[in-house]
Amino acid sequence: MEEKALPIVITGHIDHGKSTLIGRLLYDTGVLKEDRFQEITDSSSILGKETEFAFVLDALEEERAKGITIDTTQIYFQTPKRKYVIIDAPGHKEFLRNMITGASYADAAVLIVDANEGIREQTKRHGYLLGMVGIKDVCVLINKMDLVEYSKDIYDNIVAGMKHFFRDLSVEPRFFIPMSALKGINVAKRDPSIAWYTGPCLFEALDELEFKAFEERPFRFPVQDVYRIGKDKIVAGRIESGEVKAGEDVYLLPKGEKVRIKEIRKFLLNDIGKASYGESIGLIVEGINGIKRGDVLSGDNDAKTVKEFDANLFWFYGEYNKGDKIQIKCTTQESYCSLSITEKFDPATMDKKTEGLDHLEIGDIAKAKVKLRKRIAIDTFSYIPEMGRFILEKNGIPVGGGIIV
Amino acid sequence: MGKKALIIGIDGVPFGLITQMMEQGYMKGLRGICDEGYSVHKMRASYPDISSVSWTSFMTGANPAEHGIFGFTDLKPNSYDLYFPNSRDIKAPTFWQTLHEQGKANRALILNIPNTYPAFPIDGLLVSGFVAIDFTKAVYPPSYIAPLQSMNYIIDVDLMKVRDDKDGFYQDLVESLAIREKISKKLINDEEWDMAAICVTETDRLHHFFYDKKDTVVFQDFYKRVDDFIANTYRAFEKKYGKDFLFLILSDHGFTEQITEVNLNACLKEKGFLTTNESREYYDKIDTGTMAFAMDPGRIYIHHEKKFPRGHVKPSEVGQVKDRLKEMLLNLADGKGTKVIKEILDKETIYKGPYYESAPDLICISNDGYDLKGNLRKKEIFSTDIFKGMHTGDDATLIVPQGITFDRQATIEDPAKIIIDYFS
Amino acid sequence: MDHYDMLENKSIYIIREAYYRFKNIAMLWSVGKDSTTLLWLIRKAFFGKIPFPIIHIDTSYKFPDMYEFRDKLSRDWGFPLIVGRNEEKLANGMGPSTGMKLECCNELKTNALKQIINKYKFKAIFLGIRRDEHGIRAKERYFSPRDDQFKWNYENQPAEIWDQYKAFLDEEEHYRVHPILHFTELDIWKYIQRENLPIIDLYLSKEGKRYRSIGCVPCCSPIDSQASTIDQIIEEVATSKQSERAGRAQDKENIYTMQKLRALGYM
Repeated sequence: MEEKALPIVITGHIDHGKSTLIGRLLYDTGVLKEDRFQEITDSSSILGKETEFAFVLDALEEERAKGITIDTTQIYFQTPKRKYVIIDAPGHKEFLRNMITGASYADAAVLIVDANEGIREQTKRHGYLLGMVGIKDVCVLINKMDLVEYSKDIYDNIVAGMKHFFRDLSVEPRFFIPMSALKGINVAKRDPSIAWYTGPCLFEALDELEFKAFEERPFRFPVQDVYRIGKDKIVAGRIESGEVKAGEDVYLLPKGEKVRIKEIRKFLLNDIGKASYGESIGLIVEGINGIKRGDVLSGDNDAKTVKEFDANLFWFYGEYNKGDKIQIKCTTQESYCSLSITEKFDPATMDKKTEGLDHLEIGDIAKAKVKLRKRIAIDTFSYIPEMGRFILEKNGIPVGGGIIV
Repeated sequence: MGKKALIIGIDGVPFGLITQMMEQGYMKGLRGICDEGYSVHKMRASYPDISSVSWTSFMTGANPAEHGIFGFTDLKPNSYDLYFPNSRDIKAPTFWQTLHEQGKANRALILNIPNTYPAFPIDGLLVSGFVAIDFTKAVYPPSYIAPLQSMNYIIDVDLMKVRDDKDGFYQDLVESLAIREKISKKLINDEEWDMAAICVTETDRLHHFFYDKKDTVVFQDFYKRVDDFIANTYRAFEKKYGKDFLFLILSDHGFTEQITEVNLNACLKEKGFLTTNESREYYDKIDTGTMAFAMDPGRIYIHHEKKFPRGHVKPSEVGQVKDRLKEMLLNLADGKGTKVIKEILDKETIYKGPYYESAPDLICISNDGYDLKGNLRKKEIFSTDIFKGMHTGDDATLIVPQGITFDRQATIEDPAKIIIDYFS
Repeated sequence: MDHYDMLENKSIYIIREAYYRFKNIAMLWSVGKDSTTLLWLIRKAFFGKIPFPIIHIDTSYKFPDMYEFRDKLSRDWGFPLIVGRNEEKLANGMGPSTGMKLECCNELKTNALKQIINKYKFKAIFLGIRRDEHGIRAKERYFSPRDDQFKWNYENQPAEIWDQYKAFLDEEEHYRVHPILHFTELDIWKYIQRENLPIIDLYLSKEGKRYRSIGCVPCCSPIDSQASTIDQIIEEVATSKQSERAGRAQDKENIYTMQKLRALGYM
């Protein structure tokens, strides 16, 4: 997998053109040939199966044989400015769960609305979810404009509707782009068919987003374990954000003390000068005696060390009743905690539930204040995802998860 | 404007039934067209008389030993490996390919002819007929996929539905026919074609499941719709290109009421010609000691020594095995004593061409009502299922301009020659 | 960081987490290419030291090369080796011809493992299982250690040796850790090439045949192959994957075709 690709999720109602858009993105960036693109623009077969993402992947397998991408579950495309990777969001439950468990992560989202059909329930639900996981950069695509003769009125109506709906969430879509994925209008380039639209096409909009690859974010290193190898004490763990150089000073959280990284080590490689996001390494640390699992080495002092924070939760096993003993696990940090639920959502409709705030069941989505017994180091999910998501356990069994907003 | 041709296929419509429908007033449109100068003939289908073989014989104007298609199922050479022959396995050129190559005709619209899946390159448009699995592989060129989809084009109705919901199934046939008519008309009106060959397969489906109702309103109503299809398509073509075009209607085989299924392999097993090893799959079950086995619908293959891994019948023994088989099969009778098999044909009398070696050794023709089956599943010789009708081979329909005559019975290989002659 | 660094980093993370959590843990080593790769990754995770025992279940029917290779590696890499044998059954003549294959595997493999686990009271076992082993396509989510942290997701991937142990380990509630789940067969070979890992000769072609997997002599058959170097094996595996995929797609179509034909009374 290549780094520095901006992960985006493409979401919206099933029939509003997702696979056509993906096919168009790949075709316009030269990854797909014309006949393959034709295949993808029709997303169902005689058996009436909704093929979507998996079908696109199938079609791509031949391209992949040429060695373009190795990862078989992600799709990449490249604009003049940067590389993007498309994260699948099959259904909203899976989407939420994937984001929380770290199986996938998106920095930005594209929300598709069919100009002909307008805003559907599913559209709203996806919008809610984007808000729940704190994706700030949302591009709304008003697709299939060719079916409504590029009507500005229809476009304006939909934009107004979306703005109204998003007003209640903490998400403000950056762009509303009228387009036709089928005809390639306003995807890779602007098109005179929509003369009244002066905003950017999709590629331009995406390229405008500010994006920091994980390597460029602040250094975060949750300690997994400490090993005694020979006469050395090696602090083992994985870099969950940023990078570190040998000789650098970093902070040991949650205590907050300054320590020095003397050496970076890997098996058979001593004296590594620099290591970055994703690498499992060993560190020789000076300046402190009691480093242990659960501590976090941080490159700056801006990670929050807190005993409480706001989070969006997803419950996936068993029940929760107010007062239950729960444990939180965030990277390698653990603590007992309690929950104060402020809002609950019906997972099917994303309507707010006003009752039963003392209780959670499988599938429930909720906003809550999490109070901990000890201090831990965290970041918001949108800033550093690894430090902004957590798992909740009851009696050692994972029962829920959440993201820190 | 050059020469034009319109061919309409009506799968499984027997000569007797369509003439009856025309006489009784249920097909006024077709009757009117025929009065303008067309005659109706009884036509011999392919051997065997199933759609994939017969339509391929129609498309290529050749017999199975030339085009290589002997059934919906076949075995790979020197093995028991089952495969499903498709368009890729057709070894002879189709009439439109021949005409295109000769520069005699260009854009062709080939819609819904069975055994054209996967869709293959054409100057024009090809939409595959039965058996087609993946719609995106059933259309050439692919640019037509989306438009056809948006018009809800259906290749084949849901065949399983008829088991629980006969009315719903019938409605599906009506709808499918209507969509096919709508799309055919649109394609004829909107684009230029030198020839159009459009096939209706709903008739075959109707016959399989409802043939016991052929003298009722069920059929009369449906045939009226088929009549509309024919008449409307004809008139649309006429409106665009004038009266001077070649017009043909044909079916690929006939139909008759089914009395019972006859499972040939069960029979061969009982009489000692076939032994199977049930722990293996499909035709791999065929075990040593087998002298002959059957495949749908009435094909008999001798277990030749050189042709099959476990085969042992030597060339010198073949004659004897055939004689014994014929004797046994011609004497096969149902519970009431009625003979099942009408005649058995040797391959040399019906097949000629480069793929002669792959042809079945014998073709069994049954008496009306006895539906020969080549499966290895059913253990009883006689069985019944949901089917009310079965194919017949000697009474397909061919409607041609009056000037065209035949000095022997017309066969399914004739129409292609007529078309090629017309354009030459 | 390239593709193999990524695979490696993920494995090392999982290995370290499991060790922290279970402490009394061991690795099951079949001496084949996958578990030897896992062994190497464990060495990397602990900076050269392997802090727990490596178990080899010896059915006594293994290839002679295997025993040699095993002993040499355990010396070279310096790890404690536990060899488990079901001495009792072996003494009674258990083998694939005396018992049925299943029974032989059960007694000589599974029960031998049981004996070891009970003796040393291991809480968890590392296994070199890959997700792609039985043709399950890699469209499902990655196995990630962060998947419900410590709720290991077992249900999905049975493989030959795996089948033997799963039930037993299930019953007794031992944890199974799969740090190389995300490696494909091709990944393993490429990683072996990159790291220059030692593998048994049997994987390389001799006289037109080589072994794709190594187990007990009576139950292992070689495949036809000319691949006598790792480079050639990599090429061979890469091409066969492509045709496997094409084959699967065709199989799927064939099944639907058969359904449609049956619905019309054929077949």
